[in-house]
Amino acid sequence: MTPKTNTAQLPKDVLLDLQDVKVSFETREGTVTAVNGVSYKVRPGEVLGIVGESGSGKSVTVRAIMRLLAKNAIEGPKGSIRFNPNGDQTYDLHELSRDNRQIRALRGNRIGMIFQEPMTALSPVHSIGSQISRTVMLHRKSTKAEARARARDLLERVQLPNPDLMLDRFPHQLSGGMRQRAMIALALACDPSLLIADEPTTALDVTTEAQILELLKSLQAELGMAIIFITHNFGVVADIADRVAVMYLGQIVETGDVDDIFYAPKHPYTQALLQSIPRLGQKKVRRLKTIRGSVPDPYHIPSGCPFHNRCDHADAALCTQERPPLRGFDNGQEARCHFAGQLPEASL
Amino acid sequence: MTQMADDLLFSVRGLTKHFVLQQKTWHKPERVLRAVEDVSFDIRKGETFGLVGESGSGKSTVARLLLRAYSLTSGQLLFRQADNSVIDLSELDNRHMRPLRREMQMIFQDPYSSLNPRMTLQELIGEPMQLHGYSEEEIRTRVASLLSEVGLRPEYAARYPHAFSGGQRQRICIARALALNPSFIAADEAVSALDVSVAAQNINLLQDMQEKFDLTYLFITHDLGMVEHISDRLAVMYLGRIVEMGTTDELFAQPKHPYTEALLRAVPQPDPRQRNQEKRGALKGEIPDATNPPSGCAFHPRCPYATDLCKIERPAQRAIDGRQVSCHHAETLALEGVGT
Repeated sequence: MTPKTNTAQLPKDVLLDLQDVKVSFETREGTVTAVNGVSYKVRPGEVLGIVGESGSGKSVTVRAIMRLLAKNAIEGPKGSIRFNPNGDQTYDLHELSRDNRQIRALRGNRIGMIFQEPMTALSPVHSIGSQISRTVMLHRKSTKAEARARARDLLERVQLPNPDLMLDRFPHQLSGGMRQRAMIALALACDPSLLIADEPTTALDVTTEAQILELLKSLQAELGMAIIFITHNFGVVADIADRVAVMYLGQIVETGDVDDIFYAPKHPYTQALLQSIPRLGQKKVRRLKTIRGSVPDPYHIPSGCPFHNRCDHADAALCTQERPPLRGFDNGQEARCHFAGQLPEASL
Repeated sequence: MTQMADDLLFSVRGLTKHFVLQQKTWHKPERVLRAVEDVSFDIRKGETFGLVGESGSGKSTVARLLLRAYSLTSGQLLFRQADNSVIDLSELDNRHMRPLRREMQMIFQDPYSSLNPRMTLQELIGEPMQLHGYSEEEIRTRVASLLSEVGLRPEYAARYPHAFSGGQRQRICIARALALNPSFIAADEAVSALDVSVAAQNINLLQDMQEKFDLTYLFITHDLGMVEHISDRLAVMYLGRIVEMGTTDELFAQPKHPYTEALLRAVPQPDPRQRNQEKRGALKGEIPDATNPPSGCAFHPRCPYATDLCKIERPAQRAIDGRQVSCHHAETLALEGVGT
């Protein structure tokens, strides 16, 4: 059987285009649908922030892009993940298996990835320098000496002190913040056009987090790669993202420019999340606003709109029965809610 | 008899904890990790006292010392018992501590590792009562009422923790902490591992419980937004010492220690319009090794305002406008807080 690939050329101003990506996992307790029809676009050089609570499917989606899904994952038949790294050739990653020659040539080369816990993502038995230079040698036909010079240059670029010494250090000899810098250097080794950052600052202290965010912003301005930035922290999104996608139970419930998401959220879930975070310098309130209940377990996703059982605006007849369509607005904002645009304004 | 002011629950003076690290080779001198160094503060009855700082600053060690999970290297630890008598915990051995343990409890960060997966909720929440000699019947009714108190159904008592989400597990931990009617609870990063919406629910629950049962909290967190919301007074720690202490409102509105300012500056604000504001006093580098602290003021290598004096002399903690600050230049610096 030949897979029906969708390699229709993407326009030059679209780097990555996800259409209807579905991922489920076969487990002993049954089938869990982690990603249920996600579509989004990433333009060259933009920072797309993806926010959501745990279990919303944000990490699984990017693992599908990287073709690094677990072995028991089942993907939907209709989805496509088109990637246009140089503007002239489009790949459909959705049809590639995890060890396909094409994806191996792209992964680490045109797509870089950084993870939450650099200690587990970096190899403990290879020095920082050799991990970076091997990546360079794999994707570019360069000599050992050239690759090492490139590695040194990268370590300097991520502002690690004493890059010459750092080349021969092992991950366990570095602090958390320094390891994350080494990880960024590794991800940028081949000048990727897309960098995927999966909660890269969650395990760090606020001070180190601020440093890493500054670094990513300056590298992005300098090198011009696009970033998909996954986080659960709205403060981090506000700091780095150009556009934001909010995920809930495997679906994108709202997307829009960062200002619109923060100042004019259209989906009740986004509104409620924004109101439940205590922020610095805010007037003291007796109680924090909360979203009632908790994220449903993925084996029992509610019918209709999956948020209806926690929503203050849910209509008993409509929302429990019918899955809402994505409703678009003039400013490019989209919200998956029957009442998007008709709800009372609720922002910061 | 030891004395302290009537409105205090804890009075801590000169609290110090050194850990002697295992020697790697016999001929090298042993290394001492100075986790907590000469820390003094009071916790008032019924208040929430916050403790913030980067990891490695000694916050958790302070909490564990208060509960005497560690023995003190030196210092005095006065605690007001339920019968209003004051006792110095630093001198007690484990046997004498045991009856006092019912009055102080702890909630941990990770609700997945702090509940034994092989015990039912009945056993988990009932265990402290069993150890303190409650009858089976008393335990059963109390577990049921505690579960409903924290917003879980009493029928859940027969279930195991794996059936619950992170937020629910944290509620189980809260119920267990409340089981013996304590007067003091140390919450060590109690909501840091939870999702935004669930963290807010549990913070509200902690505040309700505080009101209802007249509890005093020590609230440890690295989330400054959360600490501003929940705590009345606050201590900022750096490398085992308190660098600034005062009421949360004053401290956040106008910090007097450069480290407090730097922490506040570092918090990413959930407001995209603030993103390109100049980051004044952004911190460089990382917290130093506690086995080899810098000379003088421990913060001087990272401090944008440091002078030669700071490299030589360690600033003494002193009172300025009703708060405690350890900085040579506290009076002259005009530091920036967060506006209300």
